[in-house]
Amino acid sequence: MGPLLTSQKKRNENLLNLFIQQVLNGLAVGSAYGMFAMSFGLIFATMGILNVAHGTIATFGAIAALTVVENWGFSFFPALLIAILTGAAIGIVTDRLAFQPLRARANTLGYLITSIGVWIVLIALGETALDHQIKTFPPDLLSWPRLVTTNIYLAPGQIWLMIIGPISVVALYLVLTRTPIGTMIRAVGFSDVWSRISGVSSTVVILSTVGISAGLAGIVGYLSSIAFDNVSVPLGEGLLLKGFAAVVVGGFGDVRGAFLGGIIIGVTEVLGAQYVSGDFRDVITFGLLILFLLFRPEGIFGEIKFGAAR
Amino acid sequence: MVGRSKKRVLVGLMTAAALSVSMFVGVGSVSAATEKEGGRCDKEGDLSTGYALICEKKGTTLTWVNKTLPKGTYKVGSEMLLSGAAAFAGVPMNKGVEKAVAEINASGFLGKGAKIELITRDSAGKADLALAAVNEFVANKVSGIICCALSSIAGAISQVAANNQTPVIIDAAVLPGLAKPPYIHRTVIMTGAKNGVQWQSAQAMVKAIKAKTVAIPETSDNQGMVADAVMYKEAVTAAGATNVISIKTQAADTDLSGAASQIIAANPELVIPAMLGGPASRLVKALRDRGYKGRIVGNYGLSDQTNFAIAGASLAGVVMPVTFNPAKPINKLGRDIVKWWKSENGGALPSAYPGMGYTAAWYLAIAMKNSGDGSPANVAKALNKIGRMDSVYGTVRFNKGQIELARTAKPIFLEWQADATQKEWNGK
Repeated sequence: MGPLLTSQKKRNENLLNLFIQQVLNGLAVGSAYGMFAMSFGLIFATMGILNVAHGTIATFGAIAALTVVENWGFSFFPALLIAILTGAAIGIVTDRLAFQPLRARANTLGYLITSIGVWIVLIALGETALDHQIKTFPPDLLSWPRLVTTNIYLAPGQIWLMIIGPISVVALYLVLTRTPIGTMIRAVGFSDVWSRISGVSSTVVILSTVGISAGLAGIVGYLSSIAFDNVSVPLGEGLLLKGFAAVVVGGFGDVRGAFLGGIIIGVTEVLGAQYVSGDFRDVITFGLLILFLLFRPEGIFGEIKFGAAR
Repeated sequence: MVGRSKKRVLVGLMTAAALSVSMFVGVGSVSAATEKEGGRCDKEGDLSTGYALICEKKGTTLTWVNKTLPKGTYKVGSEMLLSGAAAFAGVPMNKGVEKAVAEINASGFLGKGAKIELITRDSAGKADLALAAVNEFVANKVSGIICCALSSIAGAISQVAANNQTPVIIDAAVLPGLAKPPYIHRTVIMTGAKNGVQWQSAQAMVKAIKAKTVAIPETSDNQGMVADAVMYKEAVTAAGATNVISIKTQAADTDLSGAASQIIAANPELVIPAMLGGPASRLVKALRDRGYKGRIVGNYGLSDQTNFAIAGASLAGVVMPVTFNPAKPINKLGRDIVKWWKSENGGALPSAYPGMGYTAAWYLAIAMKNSGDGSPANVAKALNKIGRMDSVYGTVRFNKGQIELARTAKPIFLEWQADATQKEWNGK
């Protein structure tokens, strides 16, 4: 083989390695978007609330975990538990304080406006908690697993996103389809009125849905902040925007669709930045969203009719 | 029940919101100047004593003046980045503004019983909030406005104030051409100008390591950073680099792993991020985590200690040019700022940002004092007469509303060390 051919082969190998690397990067960030989309979509599908504060709840999961790691030396898994509990607690408290009083009046637009109010309050609290800075977890919090080859690198945070993402889809899908509480959640999502006639407790459904959804947001915030070295309020805002796009692409009514939508958005935006331009990263994402709204508004996996649990 | 049509309306509303969001970073020693009042003050060194606040152009010469304002409260608007992605810069800058105003009021600098009432608004780097703040300031008939840290919105926002005949002091935005007297002035030293310190730092590193391939990642939705990227490309090409790779990121990008992979695949000997400090430090960490061993040159935004909290020892070896070296201030004002900051922040050294806010506030205050009545129109006139002033950078002058160093200073290049300290770069 001549030196010219060898050089060409090497160049092709490098291009292939870069492609694989960027697909893996896209899968990692897509897992974050997908998990967030599942949690965001679950609340909308069950209660009819487009909760724009949901991204900031994810940030609070990261903030709480960072606090226990820095101050009490928590390791990765206990801090993950704290992130889940914090997300769930904030979700439930905001639901009781901000959304529950609206349910008697059942004004859907009111939910959106209220969630904007909650969002603003949580942003202010989050900025104060972080002292207006971007923070990161100590590097020794998570040093495994790390994929390092000559040409491919995946940080531990990225790998955990790619592990916990699919696990959370399967777990949530099983909870929704194989457990009594899941059946109640789906029943309310299908028809709130008929669910109540059948004896389903809306309070149990609401608290369970919010707890599961906000707890999952806490997981996403925690893992994303490790993977992207970014504990900050804008982290949650980014998740919200991309998670919303993922929900539209995948479909509101099915957690599998929401997760798949996240993966599609993640891989598309990373490859778009690599092979088109970083300038068009968001254009590609939201262009995809607009295309789905125009030509397949029900998303990849379709949708169910939405009910507002009261 | 939420019907299909209602759901679509909600989805539409959310989409619109998502799209709009996605499109979118001492003078103060106050001794009386009476001993020099009326004398010339255009020689180097005249301003070294710290009270050269009121050195006014009269024709071709500079003359000391010392007017005062009548007793009363004079409003000053301050649009700051107290939250959002650039809060790491906005918060310390705001502290610098507040310190200056506290000094001005405590010292009676404006005149007996004349005080500044500072109206601070957080824009979070968003154009709509910044515009609302400026409109509020104009409606409140402020004497002047300190604003505009992000180049992406500084041009439009400052022009709104100028259209309302209200003077603006741009405290941090570095987009070329922003200063437009009589109303728009800028007190941030243009480190990114051609042949400026950033240009020099990029060239010095290219020559030191004989770099041929240079990657320049930029925040492409920040016009100031785009201008820096263009300048860097010209600088490194002139210094001998033959392969310059441009990589685009966005200010709101939370994940920089893709950009880091792109850079590493290009295998550059040198990376020069044209990015604000926070994203730049995250990119540095992402690069080092992925095994990048080449050199990195940043801008002064990387010099802030908060960057070490983000990137840790990954920053070791990163070189950045600064106009203010907190470890070695060149005058009393600089030493005072460092002393104050350390006392308030557990001994940590300040970045450039507090001094930037401090300088902007004092510049406006000098003009207010010289305006005679604090009205926006007369403050604008007074701003245009300020010839020189003392600052943390040493003596500075103003050229068409733009601050400049009054002396030819040797550029300062600092290098991050693994122990979170910074030392002057030895050129290797």
